[in-house]
Amino acid sequence: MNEKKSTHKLSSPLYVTKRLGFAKWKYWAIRAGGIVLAFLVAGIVCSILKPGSFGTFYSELIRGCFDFTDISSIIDLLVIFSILLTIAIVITPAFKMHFWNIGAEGQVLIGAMTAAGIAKFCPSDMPNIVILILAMVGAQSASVIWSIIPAFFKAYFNTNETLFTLMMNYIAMIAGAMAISIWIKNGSQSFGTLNQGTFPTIFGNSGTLVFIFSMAIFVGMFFYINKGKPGYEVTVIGESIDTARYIGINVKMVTIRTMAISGLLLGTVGFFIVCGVHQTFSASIVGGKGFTGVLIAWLGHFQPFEIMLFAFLAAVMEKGTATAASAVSISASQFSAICTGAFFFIIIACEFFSRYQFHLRHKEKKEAEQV
Amino acid sequence: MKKQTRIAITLIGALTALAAASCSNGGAEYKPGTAVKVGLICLHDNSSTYDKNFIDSMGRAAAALGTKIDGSPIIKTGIAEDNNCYVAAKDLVKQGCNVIFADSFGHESFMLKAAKEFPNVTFCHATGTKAKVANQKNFHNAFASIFEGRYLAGYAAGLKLQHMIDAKQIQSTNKDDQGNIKLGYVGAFPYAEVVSGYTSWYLGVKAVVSNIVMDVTFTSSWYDFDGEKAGARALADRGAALISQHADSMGAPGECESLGIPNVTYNIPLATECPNTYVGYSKIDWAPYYEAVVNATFEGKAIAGEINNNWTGTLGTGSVVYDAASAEDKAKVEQIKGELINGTRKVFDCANWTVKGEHLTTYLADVDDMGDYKPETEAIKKEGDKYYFDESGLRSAPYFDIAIDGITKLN
Repeated sequence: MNEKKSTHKLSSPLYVTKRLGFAKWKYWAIRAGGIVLAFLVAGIVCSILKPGSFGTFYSELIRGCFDFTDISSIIDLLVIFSILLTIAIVITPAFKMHFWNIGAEGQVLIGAMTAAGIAKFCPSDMPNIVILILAMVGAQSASVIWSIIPAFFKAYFNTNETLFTLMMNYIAMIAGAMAISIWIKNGSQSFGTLNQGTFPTIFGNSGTLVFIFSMAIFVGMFFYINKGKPGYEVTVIGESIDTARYIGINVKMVTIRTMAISGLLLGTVGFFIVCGVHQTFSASIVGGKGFTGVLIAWLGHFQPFEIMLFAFLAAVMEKGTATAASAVSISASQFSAICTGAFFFIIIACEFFSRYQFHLRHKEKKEAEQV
Repeated sequence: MKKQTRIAITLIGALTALAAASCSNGGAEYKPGTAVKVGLICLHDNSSTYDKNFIDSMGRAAAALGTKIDGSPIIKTGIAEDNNCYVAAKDLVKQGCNVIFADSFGHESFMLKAAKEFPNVTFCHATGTKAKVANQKNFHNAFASIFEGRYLAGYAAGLKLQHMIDAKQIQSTNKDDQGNIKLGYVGAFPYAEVVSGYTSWYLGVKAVVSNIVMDVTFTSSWYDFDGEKAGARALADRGAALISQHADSMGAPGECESLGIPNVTYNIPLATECPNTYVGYSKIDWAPYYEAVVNATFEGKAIAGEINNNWTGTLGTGSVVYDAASAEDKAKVEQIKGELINGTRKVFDCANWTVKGEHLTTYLADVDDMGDYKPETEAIKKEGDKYYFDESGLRSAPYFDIAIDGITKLN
């Protein structure tokens, strides 16, 4: 059987091998090229849709992201960055443990839903800070429970966590839609804005505190991943479960603990999104950032600063292209999403080509003959 | 690692310092008589018939307003009903817009938030309910008496149904146990805007053919091609002889065409796409509203026809548009339209509908949106010895949410 396969391989004109000893600077040069290419593609797509808009596209992209005369708009960018960064960094320990949690979207959403429910239905004579604390604790508890479920089944029944967490995203979305239809009694399914339990406005933006708290979480996660026992334990489990057992790590316990911590912080992100950023709730309020976070964590090789870089670039891509699209009056509402998609596609392609290389077989044959 | 930590702290410090004191300026001050800069925020783009209607109306209004508008209106599409709406509004203010429109119900709270922050800019929200009680001078709601358009489209459908009865095309499967002919309606959400819509359509049909009943199915989405298609199919399976909808995709009209069931569309006429089943349509033309707002801004006056920051377009303002596929039927519908305009005919005339067998003479509706969902305003008016439900008279957005006899909600 094996032999058959290899002869089949031999007959194909292309084959792939892993690159060995690829210089770090070359790798980063390719990545930088990829990033530039992604932004170039966005501009080209824009000027295909609206001929002659190539220059405006970039000036508007920069204005949309880096207008330093308007701090509130800068904070809007930093908020997108913070949410992506926090989700990506928080799910990293589980990935390092080779626990493939792709359920961040749902884990954030369940937290967001709980925070929204608490903030909406707390008595209005309660002080805002008390409502905020209740909403945060509620969001965290809900997400911890939501995250522990797949971890428990993985630890005790070895259930496939990828499928499990993926499926739970959809359950969370349906739960969110159901919650709205129960809460909103006029049938409009429109939550409206929260009258209480909202973050204070600083620098003209209720997202300012979201950014500051996210940075605090980043610092905490940096130490959690790189220093101390828990970070070491997940790394060992990721390398080899048998080694982990041999040196006395309780794999079941670590699996559940890691997911509980990630749930705690993803719930906090849900709380940020509802009480800080949007001050409303809908079943699509996380907007795919849970999935994008997974991509960013992986592209950042689970390294905090690489994750930070990609989270920032993704945020610039999202906000900048959206601003530019409206400025050059592209009517396609999905333009920004297409650009973000192209960005990730190109970076992943760079990743692939810097890890592996293609060979043309007939060319090699000729080379061999010449030798 | 230590070096990395230091970098992290420096980075965070720098970014925080960057967020130094800044305040918004209330938006660009507008001098009447100068060209008005206009912005429009849309939930989807041209691919949704609902948003396309707003975008097209804006194009017509801009053409009619000519030099009163500064350049072409800035249109932002794909703006979700969350903080993104507020961010989009802020960006439009920054680009110098004097008037900003938004098209989706859920945009309202975020438009109101922006209106409070930028008092120099006029914010106009279509389909919303809060302007009456928000007490915010520069925040406005608008809608149109689309129930009259639906009634007329329903009347056209009634005439079509009468032709079908005359031609003996109504099967026994199209009738219920009492011999009433079954109709179907695909709705988005079970709230007042949709309830008012399907009830007025039903009453329009009933004005021609009195022995009818109707099933209504909801998709729980404004735009769900598959859901609307499945809804139309389910209604057809239950025997609906005629179908209409209040949802934004081509799902239901397309399915009706393939099943051969006559269909009344919303927002777009589909005479070419559905040649065999298109009966008529109704829609709101937003151009008269856009023109009224821009003209008022340009002249430095209050918006003509506005009551309590609410503007209701009518058949008279040209805001309510309908059509009937058959020219002969259209002449009859035109006559009914005349009666609606001069007030001799009321869509929600209480003599024409019952609730549990009773004709209503009083009903409290939730007109003042305080977020409590509590009805507080008497909505049934008496004119001579006639009672009628005063839809859109107290506030622009619909508030008729009564479940009348003959209409069954399937979900």
